[in-house]
Amino acid sequence: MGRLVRWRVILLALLCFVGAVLVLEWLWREFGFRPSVVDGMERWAVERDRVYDPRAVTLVGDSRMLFNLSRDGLEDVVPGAEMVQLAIGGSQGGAVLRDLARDSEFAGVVVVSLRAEGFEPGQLETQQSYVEHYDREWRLEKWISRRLRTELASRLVILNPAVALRKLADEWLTERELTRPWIVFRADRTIDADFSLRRAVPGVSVGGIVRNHYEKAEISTPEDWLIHARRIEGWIDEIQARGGRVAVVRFPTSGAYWRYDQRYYPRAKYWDRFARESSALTLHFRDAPELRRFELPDRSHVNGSDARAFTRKLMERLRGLGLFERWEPSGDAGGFQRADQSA
Amino acid sequence: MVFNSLSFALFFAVVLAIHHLPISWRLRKLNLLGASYLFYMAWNPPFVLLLWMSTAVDWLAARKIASHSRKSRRRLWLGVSLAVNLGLLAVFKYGEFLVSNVVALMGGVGIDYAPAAPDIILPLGISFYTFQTLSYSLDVYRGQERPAGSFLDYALYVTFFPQLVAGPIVRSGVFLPQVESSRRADSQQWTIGLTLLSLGLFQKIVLADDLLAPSAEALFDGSAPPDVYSAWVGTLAFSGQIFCDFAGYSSCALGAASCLGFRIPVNFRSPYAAVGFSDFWRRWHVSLSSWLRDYLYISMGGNRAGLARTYMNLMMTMLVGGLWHGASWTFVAWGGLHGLYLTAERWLRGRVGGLSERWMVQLPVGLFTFAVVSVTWVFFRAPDFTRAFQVVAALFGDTAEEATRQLPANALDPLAVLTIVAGLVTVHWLQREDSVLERFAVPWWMESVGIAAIWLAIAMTPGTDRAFIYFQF
Repeated sequence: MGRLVRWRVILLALLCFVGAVLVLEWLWREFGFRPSVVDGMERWAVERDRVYDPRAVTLVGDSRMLFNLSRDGLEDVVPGAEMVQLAIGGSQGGAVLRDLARDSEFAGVVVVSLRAEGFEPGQLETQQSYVEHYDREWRLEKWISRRLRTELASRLVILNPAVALRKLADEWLTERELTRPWIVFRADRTIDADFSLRRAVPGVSVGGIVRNHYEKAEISTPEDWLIHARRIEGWIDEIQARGGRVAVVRFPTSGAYWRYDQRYYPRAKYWDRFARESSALTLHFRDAPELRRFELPDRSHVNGSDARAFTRKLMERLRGLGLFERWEPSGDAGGFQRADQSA
Repeated sequence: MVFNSLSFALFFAVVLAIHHLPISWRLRKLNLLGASYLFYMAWNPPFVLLLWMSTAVDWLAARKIASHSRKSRRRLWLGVSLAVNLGLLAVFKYGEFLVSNVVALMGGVGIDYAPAAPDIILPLGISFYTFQTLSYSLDVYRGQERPAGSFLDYALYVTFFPQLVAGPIVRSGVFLPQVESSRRADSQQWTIGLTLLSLGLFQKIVLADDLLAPSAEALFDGSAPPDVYSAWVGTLAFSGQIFCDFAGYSSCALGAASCLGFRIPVNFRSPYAAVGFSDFWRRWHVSLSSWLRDYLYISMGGNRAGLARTYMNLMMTMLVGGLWHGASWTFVAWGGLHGLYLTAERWLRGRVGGLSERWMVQLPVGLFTFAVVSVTWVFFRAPDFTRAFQVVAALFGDTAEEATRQLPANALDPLAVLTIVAGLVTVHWLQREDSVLERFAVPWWMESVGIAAIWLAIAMTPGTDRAFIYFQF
């Protein structure tokens, strides 16, 4: 009898737990919440492990890569391709590109999102902590944990950080109401944004933020900037010398964002000079009318509903430029392989 | 591998499944030993060599000590054990510290000495397993324990994964008898084990990492001078965090061991209800404080050689205890302060006698002890003395003109800190002598609801990948 009494404590606890999870799961879905994974260094490291896949198209850069690109869109244009999302929001991709260049086993296709500011020395190291975490801390047990956690989180709303206890308590204390998040992190590290849910912060404008940012930034002269850009060009050369292919894309910005970009980094004096010298494929959104047509609700990113179409247009343009010319369908499982390996 | 990871859940499920297979006890012990090495190697495989070295040396040393009747031979083998274990600690834990101090010392006398940086990785749990193997050799040397009869049993004692990397530091006399005969958890051990694991994970994931760490980090990792409010909230946050982090780990260790049918000693006995500092050290990190008492304080003469020598022994023990936590002078200062408190308390007790048992006396002295312990944590947590003194000054109202709020910018964190710390202190007082559950005879279904609530809170806390604080020691 005593034995049964002890077990029933755990069994009832299990029953209560499962019941509570089911009720909460139903409740959050009724409120319009969707599953969202936790994105961070570990999730990034899972992706970093995948760059050696011969079908990989590795994406490096900033938040525009996360918001604007989708796995489906890539699949539409390059069937069988595997999207490897290494972009990191709020930073520039120089350190990750350098990491790939220094990795002698890497010889894949890379698409980099870079604005002129991303070439500045001060911006080159903004993603280095992710690279260091991968080099020093990443190991099998973390990979297992992160994969399991991501699989669960991509299915259960209750694991969405937007309904985490801490978040709920903080919202209740400050706003007394529950807000649906306007962004959802997918398991493939892309972001599905719904700008209609985004609350405007009174007195804060995109133009003001960009202006403040540039006013505090150290901006190199075009000549110095080109010297810095050559460092990045060196990494591109290293990857391409091993048989890889690199495309550098200036993603769309609009309105005040674009105006300030142009004021501080006029295209003709910065981007165009890099594009002329670089061995990479380069694409500026101003040269791609099909990319300019997309609405950018915050002047910098597309809505989640447009991401697939945007990706399709971008990849079609890059394919036209020859990014995938050394690649061909392998025939099996809609495969996609480097031509020199498929033989 | 850490307890608060899904890979551990998977690993533990497999270990438990094999442990319950109808196979011999020897094979099940091999399963536990192999799993323990895997658990350790999941962090950094080559460092398992150090663990093997420490295991092998103390196995041999203890046998030699037991086999020799001549004191000089016995001393020689004890010396080998001490040299190897303390040598490992000296090189891997204190190597860089020693070099930097030598450089500073030589710089002080005008010699410009600049050796290459040692760049040594601190092996996980080295302070714990070296102290555990040392205790085995010392116990055999003192004739308190016999050497283990089987290398397998002994290796499992050193390596048993629930306590391998952050304790408790288990004595051979507690563990080795348990491996002599077959064991599996009975229903009570299962229930206790799962409850302790749940409670430990709740303390670590929800309380320490999610609710307390942000305020502690905002205070101690900043450089701007804090105001009084930030200093107190951040300091109390760390008092709560260090307890929930370490006691959480210990609960998980006890729970995992219990699910496998083993009992390992408790490491915390409601330390924030301590009345006085000697009481605190009987309640905080019990396995370390008793180790230091038995093998260091008593070895130096304890309180048997006069008052002055007793004070000196206390001070030395606490300085070593501080240094054990990390290769930094701030840890030494933390230990030294506790040494001072213990010395002052002993002196005071000699003058005015023991405290009254009445709660009107016990409670204020207990709260005073908690406040002093909390303030002293500042030296434990601060990255350097500059920050430590900045925070301590702010705690006592001596703030700089440019002092600002150094806390997370939200309404939740300070409130959470104050609520959790007040709750912790209250619970510790309620269970000073026995557990709250035993004291209030909670109905079984309420226990179930409590456990389910803990699981739900853990599930609804996304996690931040923070390692257990004591892993760095």
